[in-house]
Amino acid sequence: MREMKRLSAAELDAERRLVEAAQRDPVRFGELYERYVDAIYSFSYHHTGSRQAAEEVTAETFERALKHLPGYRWRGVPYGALLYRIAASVVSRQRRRPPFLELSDAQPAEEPGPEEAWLSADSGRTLRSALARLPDDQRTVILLRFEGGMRNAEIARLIGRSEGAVKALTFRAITALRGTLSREVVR
Amino acid sequence: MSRSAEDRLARALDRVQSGGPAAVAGDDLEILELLETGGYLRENLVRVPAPGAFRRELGDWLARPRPAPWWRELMGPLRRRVPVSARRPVLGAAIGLGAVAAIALGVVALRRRQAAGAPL
Repeated sequence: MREMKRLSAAELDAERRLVEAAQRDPVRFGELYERYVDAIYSFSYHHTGSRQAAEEVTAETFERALKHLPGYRWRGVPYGALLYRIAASVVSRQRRRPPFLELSDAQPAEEPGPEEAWLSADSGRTLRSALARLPDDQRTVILLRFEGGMRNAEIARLIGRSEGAVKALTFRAITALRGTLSREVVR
Repeated sequence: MSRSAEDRLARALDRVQSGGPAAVAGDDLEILELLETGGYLRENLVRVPAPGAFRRELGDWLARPRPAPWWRELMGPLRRRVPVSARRPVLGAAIGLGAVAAIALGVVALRRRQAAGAPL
C-alpha cells in the first residue's frame, strides 16, 4: 500500500515554496494537483464506494483548493492535509444528498483500472461492504489512518477533533470491522 | 495507572505503522485481535489511482486561466509590497475597519454640513 508520503524537513520546505509559487502563478497549482490527485481520489473512492462520486468529490476538492489558494497560509504541514480536510467535508455534505447512482455491471467502465480489480476481488468486496456500514466519522478516521498513513495527532488536527476522540473513533471502528469481517477473512 | 484499551490500541498501531513488531509483550488478547484487523486493513485498503481520462480532464480544467476578482487587481500592488510571511489578518482587519469608520464619519460630517446650510 502506498501511504501519503511522510515529508522530511527539506521536502516540506520545498512544498512550502511550491505552494507560494502556485499562489503567485496558478499554473504551478498543476504540480500540487499531480502530487495529490491519486491520494484524494482514492480516499474519496473508498469513502463513497462509487467511481462517479469519487470523481465528483475529487473535482470539487481541487476546485475549492484552487479557489482558496490565494488566502492559504502555510502552517508547516503538507498541503495534502488541507486537501484531505476539504475532501472529508465534501463527502460529508454529499452524504446528505440523495444516494449516488452506481454503475451497474451491465455498464462497464470505459477504462478498466485498479479499482475494478479491487472491486472484483473478494477481499475488496467484503471490505467495501464493511466500510460502508461504518458511520461517516469512523470511516474517515480509518481511511486517514490506513490509507493515508496518518497518526492520531495529524487526523485530530485534520478533522478538528481531540486526539482522544480520534483514538475512540479508531477503536470503535476497528472493533466494528472485526465483528463484520469474519475471522476467516481477517486471517 | 493502566491505560485504556483505546490508548493501547493507538500505541500498538503507531508502533506497527513505524515498522515495529506486530506484537510485543504486554499486548493483551483484545489488542492483538484488533491489531490483526488493522493488519488486514493495511494490506487490503489499496490505493486506487484516479482514472487517466478523469485525471487529464480535471487537470486541464484546473489549468484553464481564470480572471482574478476585481478587488484582487486593486490589491495587487499592495500584496507585492507586503511579503506573505509579514501579512497579518488582524492588521488587515484593523485597516479595513478604520477605512469603514472613516467613510462613515465622512458621510455624517457631510450630512451635518448639508443640514446646517439648508434653508429653514
